[in-house]
Amino acid sequence: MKIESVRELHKLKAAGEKLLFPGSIRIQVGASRCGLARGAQEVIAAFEKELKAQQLDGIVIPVGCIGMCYEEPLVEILLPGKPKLTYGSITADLVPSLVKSLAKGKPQKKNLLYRTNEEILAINGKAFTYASKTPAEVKTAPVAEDAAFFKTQQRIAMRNAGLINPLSIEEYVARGGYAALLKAVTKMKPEEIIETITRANLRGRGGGGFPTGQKWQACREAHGRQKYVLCNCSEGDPGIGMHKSIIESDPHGIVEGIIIGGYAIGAQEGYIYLHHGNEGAKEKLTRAIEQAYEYGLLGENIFGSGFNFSLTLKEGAGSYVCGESTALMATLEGRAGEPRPKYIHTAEKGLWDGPTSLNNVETWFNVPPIIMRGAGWYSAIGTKKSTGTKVISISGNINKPCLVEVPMGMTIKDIISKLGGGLPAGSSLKAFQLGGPPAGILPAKDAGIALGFDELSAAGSLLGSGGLIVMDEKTCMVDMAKYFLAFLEEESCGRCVPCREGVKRMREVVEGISTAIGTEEDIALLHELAECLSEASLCDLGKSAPQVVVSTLRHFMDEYQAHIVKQVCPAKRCSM
Amino acid sequence: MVPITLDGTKTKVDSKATILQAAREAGIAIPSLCSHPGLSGLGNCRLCVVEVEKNGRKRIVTSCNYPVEDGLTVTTGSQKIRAIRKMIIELLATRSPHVKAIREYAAEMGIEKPRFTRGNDKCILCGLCVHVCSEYVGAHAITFSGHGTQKFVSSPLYRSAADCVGCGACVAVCPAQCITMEDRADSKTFVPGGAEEVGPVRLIHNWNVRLPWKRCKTCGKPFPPPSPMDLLEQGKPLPGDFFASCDNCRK
Repeated sequence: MKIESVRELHKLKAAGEKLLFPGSIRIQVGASRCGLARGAQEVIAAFEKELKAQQLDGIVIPVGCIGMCYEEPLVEILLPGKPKLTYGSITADLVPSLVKSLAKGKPQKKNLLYRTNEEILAINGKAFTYASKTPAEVKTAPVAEDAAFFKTQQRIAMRNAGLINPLSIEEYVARGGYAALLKAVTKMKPEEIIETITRANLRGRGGGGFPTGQKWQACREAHGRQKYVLCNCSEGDPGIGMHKSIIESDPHGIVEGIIIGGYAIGAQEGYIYLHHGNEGAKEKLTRAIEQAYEYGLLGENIFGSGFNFSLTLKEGAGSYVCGESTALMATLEGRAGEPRPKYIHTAEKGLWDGPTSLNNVETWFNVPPIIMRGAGWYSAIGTKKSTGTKVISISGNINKPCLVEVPMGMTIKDIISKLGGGLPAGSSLKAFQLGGPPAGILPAKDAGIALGFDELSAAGSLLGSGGLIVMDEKTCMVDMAKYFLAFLEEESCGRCVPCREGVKRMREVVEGISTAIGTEEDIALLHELAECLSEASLCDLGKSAPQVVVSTLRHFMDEYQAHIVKQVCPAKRCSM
Repeated sequence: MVPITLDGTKTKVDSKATILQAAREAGIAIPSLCSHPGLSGLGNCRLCVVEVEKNGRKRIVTSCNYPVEDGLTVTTGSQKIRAIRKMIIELLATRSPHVKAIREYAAEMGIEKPRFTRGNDKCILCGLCVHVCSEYVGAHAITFSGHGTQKFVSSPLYRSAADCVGCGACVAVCPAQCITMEDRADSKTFVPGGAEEVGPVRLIHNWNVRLPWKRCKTCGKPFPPPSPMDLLEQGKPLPGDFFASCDNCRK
């Protein structure tokens, strides 16, 4: 069935609403990467078994990740006419008693985290109601907006994460999906879309923070027979899987964003580059693209507007450097994933020498809501120079490792304490790092810094991908520097001398310091190497590789000195 | 022709030139290891870095592949640039301490002994051999294998490079002189079944290549694979049947 009008989209929406509110019990189990690791598969099986045993009419749906990784397996229960109830840490053995309480019509209070009566959809600002009345037995549970986890968040990119069945296009449409695409291709001119994105001041979420509107404009104006839009989902940072998690939870969100981008730029072909080894994201994205083709949202004459667009999922072999734009394009072309000099911009000559716009997963997710709600709405969120929200993955020495989306301008301290639940008892914040291996490590005294592209760059770090790693005083900074250098040495493509040879030598010098054979001269040598690498490397991997050493040298010089002069590791990490 | 400022001197240079070409034309020496006048710039060794200024914005770029632009200001030998070049040579001298070209640069820049643990690689991974083979000769016989610090140049799957024409361009361009080639006059080939073929062959050891000399299509005599280096130096394209006839018959 092809959708060509508002009415047909509404039909799909009605079908989706029927799936979301089936008139019987609907149980949603978080079955993203984090959920599966905590036993979501067994929980799903237990629910199915228990529903059958207690002869209850209901369905069990595996959904994506809400972000509360510490409460997985997370279960949401929709009873007809009642607010949605969210339960945390439901293991398979807790399922029978929960289903029993449902059978009685009195959902249990144990493990109940919060209830949702109504939510405002980020895509269009309209209310989405589960139930207007709240039964007495769950009145004590906080409503979602007041629950500690959601209070400080504003979810735009993660608007559907963990709330819909990622394999169902109907449910995505029921929550306002593809309306932005309809609006874009039927009511807006490509120039208008670019202007909206420019006025919203959407900046690239991949790390650079380059204004997306400007990028699109350059690509639209460039001459080329065939133009391309690409989505970068090569997420190689150690311990971070946020983009895959969002894609796994809401694959249609990205498909819609890319189609709108393609229309704005004048491209007819799009590619999503996915890091190898993400079966969940691959499966869901493949299905989403198939469905979009099936409903005529991809292919020829989209919404009867005469605009044609094709989208292909490409899986890369999974090298870290393939996240670099030119290396990513080389991989798509079938060559080895090595960067090339960017003296001619990829907006003019990118993939197969055609004008190309490469954007990050999160950037694409932000496009449909901006189109629906306008630039003014978006630019009012966050700070003046960094508008909107940012998805942050919190990990390290923290009570509640999780995936959250907060407005720009929030301080790191707040993110750690309000969303991450602070550090475990008995330990205190020593340092944190945001933005993956190439970003600098900042000390605890900088935790008051506000989330923003320029703020973090000025402090010598990066907003980057938004992976926040929290370190307590048991972390040795020399050891951290060594770890990240070893990672980058392993991931360097080996094309240019400064990166290939320099990172290796830097790692050797830092390793020497951590094994008590370092000398005073090593500090100067590290600075010299850092200067050379950051200026002369070919791509950003080599250019930013010394950041971790430079920042730790700046903020934790006493630790380096302790290793070199006293030959002790203050954090007792390094074996000396 | 476009006007640029080269080390403080205003000149006009060919609009298709790179900074390196323009500078060498103007008699300014810029060190480099991975560039060749007849080939496009690679930007691998980073030794040819220069400082460019455009619209008030200063950047460090590799001169071998940066095209000249109207109004560009280029500084080729500032202290910063010299420090970068020195560090690059120190890094290469650590990797390949016995390569003559590196030793010469090191002596010139005053590096007595690199401060890192020395290795003993013959190849400096400049990439010129792979580049000349694919871009100019068009044989695509050799390639890079591995990545990062484990990278090396090899024939595909480490076997005998099947597409090698034996021209020896890789040997000629190698700045580290680490590719070895020889001709053997009466080399025996044992064909399965007991037969023997005796004749001159060309060997390129690095790529496991052993090519019996072809017979010239004009005079019919065996001849060594001709070298395309003269044509490359003159900036002329390689004729399609270049490897089919011997040097005498081609003229």
